[in-house]
Amino acid sequence: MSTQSQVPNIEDAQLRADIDRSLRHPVMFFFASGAAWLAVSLLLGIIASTKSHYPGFLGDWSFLQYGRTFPAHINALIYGWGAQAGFGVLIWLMARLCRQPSKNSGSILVAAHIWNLGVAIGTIGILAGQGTGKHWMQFPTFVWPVLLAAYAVIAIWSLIAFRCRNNDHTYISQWYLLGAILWFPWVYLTANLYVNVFDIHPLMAAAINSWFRHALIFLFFTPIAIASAYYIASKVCGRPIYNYSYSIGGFWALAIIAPWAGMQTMMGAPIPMFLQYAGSAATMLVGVPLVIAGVNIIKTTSGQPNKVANSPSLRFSIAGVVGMLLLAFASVILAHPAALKYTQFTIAGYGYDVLAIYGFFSMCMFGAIYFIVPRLTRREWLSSRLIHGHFRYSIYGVLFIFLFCTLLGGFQQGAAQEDHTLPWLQAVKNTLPYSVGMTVALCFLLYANFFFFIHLTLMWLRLGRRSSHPTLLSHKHSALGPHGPEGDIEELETAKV
Amino acid sequence: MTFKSFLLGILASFGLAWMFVIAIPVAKMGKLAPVQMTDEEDSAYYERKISGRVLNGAKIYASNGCYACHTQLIRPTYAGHQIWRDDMAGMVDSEGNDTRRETTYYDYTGEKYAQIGLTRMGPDLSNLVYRVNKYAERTNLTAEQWLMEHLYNPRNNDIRLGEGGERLEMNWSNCPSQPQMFEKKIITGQGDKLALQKTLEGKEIVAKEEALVLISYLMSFHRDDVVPDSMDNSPKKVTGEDNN
Repeated sequence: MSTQSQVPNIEDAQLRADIDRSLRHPVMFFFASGAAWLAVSLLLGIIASTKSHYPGFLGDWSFLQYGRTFPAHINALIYGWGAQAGFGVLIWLMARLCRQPSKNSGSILVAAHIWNLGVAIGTIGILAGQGTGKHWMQFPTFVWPVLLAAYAVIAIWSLIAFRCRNNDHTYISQWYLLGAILWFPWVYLTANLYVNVFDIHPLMAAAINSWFRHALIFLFFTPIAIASAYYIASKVCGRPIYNYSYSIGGFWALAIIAPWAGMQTMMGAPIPMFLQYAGSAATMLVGVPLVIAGVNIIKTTSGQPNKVANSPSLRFSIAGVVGMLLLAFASVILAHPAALKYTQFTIAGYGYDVLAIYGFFSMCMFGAIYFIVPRLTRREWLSSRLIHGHFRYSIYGVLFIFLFCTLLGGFQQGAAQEDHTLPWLQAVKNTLPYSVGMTVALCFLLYANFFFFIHLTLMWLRLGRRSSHPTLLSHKHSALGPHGPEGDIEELETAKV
Repeated sequence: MTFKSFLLGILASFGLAWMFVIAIPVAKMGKLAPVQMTDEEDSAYYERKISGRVLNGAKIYASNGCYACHTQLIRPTYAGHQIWRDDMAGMVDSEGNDTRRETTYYDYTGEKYAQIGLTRMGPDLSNLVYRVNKYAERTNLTAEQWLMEHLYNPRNNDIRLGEGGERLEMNWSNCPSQPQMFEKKIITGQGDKLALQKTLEGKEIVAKEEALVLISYLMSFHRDDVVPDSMDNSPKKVTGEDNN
């Protein structure tokens, strides 16, 4: 990290600009289409969530039914937004850290379009009643090979860039990114082959599906988010990681523990007992690498509260890291067999997924996007107010989901289900307030992402501010700012005349 | 750390878990030995009988997202207590016959994917048939007809009668209705004998193929047949109902 930020010279700046220019189109395409999918997904989520407490909402259209909008929402969130934001950050960060401009942005861009086509067909397929009914794998079966092939074209160049890198030192983020690049195809292929292709015991197919969901969170989304947070934290604060060997230890702890996690959601099903408890133990233990990385990143920024408050990138990344610590906490609480008795079949599962995908991963991705996009477009973000709005409503939404849905709602619902002397109606009644809370939370998130999507689209159209001052969250645009007047260069010029 | 040692590390750490969590359990579950009903040498082997269009019905069940709110799993008491819930795990009749039991790995015979389910926004369906029969009897419908009425409108108070024939308030149900599985038809002659009780604009409402296969699948949900002693951990064997 050290060299390129501490000894800036013209060659370095030139190289960075070359890298940014080489990847501009695919990365911006990933971010913008990802943000659009996020909005679509949240809209579907709101429809589904509203229907869960008000079934007559929007009438009886079959394609808007809860049983179709809910899986469409989750799959659009995972593959439309999550994976694409992850790809964008992955290829840009890898190129920057390997100091290699990309020579293959064309093929990546084509693959990105194919990926989007796959997600679109899949989502429409689910809504049209062609979903497979396997959670997080609901896209019609013919979609997965398309996505896997597109992934191969997107990610292979980052692997090659790493092999031909122009510097000896390997930054921790690179190991995490490399891990994600290698784990994703293994996890995705295993799950799809076993569940969709091979003829295996129906219970093992369901168990592998649970494993797949956790593996995707812990071995794809988590490493990319951690890589990005490590990078942003030390880049914005201009200092090395607090403890480099801890960061390596955290990586290997994740690599060793995470592949065992997941099958605790099958607790009580007639599959080998070992799988249920190994999954439970591993999911609880995943807390360890998450806490190591979280503390390390927060320590890296310690003593610089102004930077955390002012830099949108750092603020979102640190919020994501706090989300990661909450996720570690939720993993320990929810994966415990004693808690699973109550929470196994409640809204806590959904709350956990949203906390992981939005509260942790997406917040880190937003941080990275606020950092990367100005460098790609050579424009600054238009408005700190839009960023503020995005941040604030994201936090409201995540806190709502975490507190009400993941923790309180899950246990409230589970307690009524567990007490077999109560009528079933009690479990439905107990859940109702939390279902409403979930709808409110999703509305917050959609509102936040409305700001984000508009802002990002304007940046994509190169309508950003042409200024040499980054958009910070502290001071308003004013001619009295410490760096002189801010704002659009043309406006300032005309004002002078 | 070199790239090579990194690769080896990833291969070992992931591969080990992959072997023990995925590959070996799949192989083992793929060739389960048949189980005898009792310890005696010449006792019969257990065979799970399936009926109905399970595979087609399961597809409709999956693509309409029933699994998002309904489970198909009676957990053993170490993991949950739904086995004690009325009509969920089996029946206790007036003579004291108790068929309640946990789900076994044979219960999904004939399916490709065990729809364990995500949440219990709605009740478990493992023994749905008993509840359907109960309500159907009270409303003088066949079980299939009752299910059709229910799928068309889960908040239909006319088909929910209590023990004494009183109407049960069902407006609280948040189960989606499935109108796409039905079609309107002009009434000819005495009408379709499978038509719903309700008519719409002078036309009768008749179930499409989709609803029929789904109902056939749902009618296979009575997972309380007698299982071999070695697999039966149900509480009736060990303790009474009050000891939970």
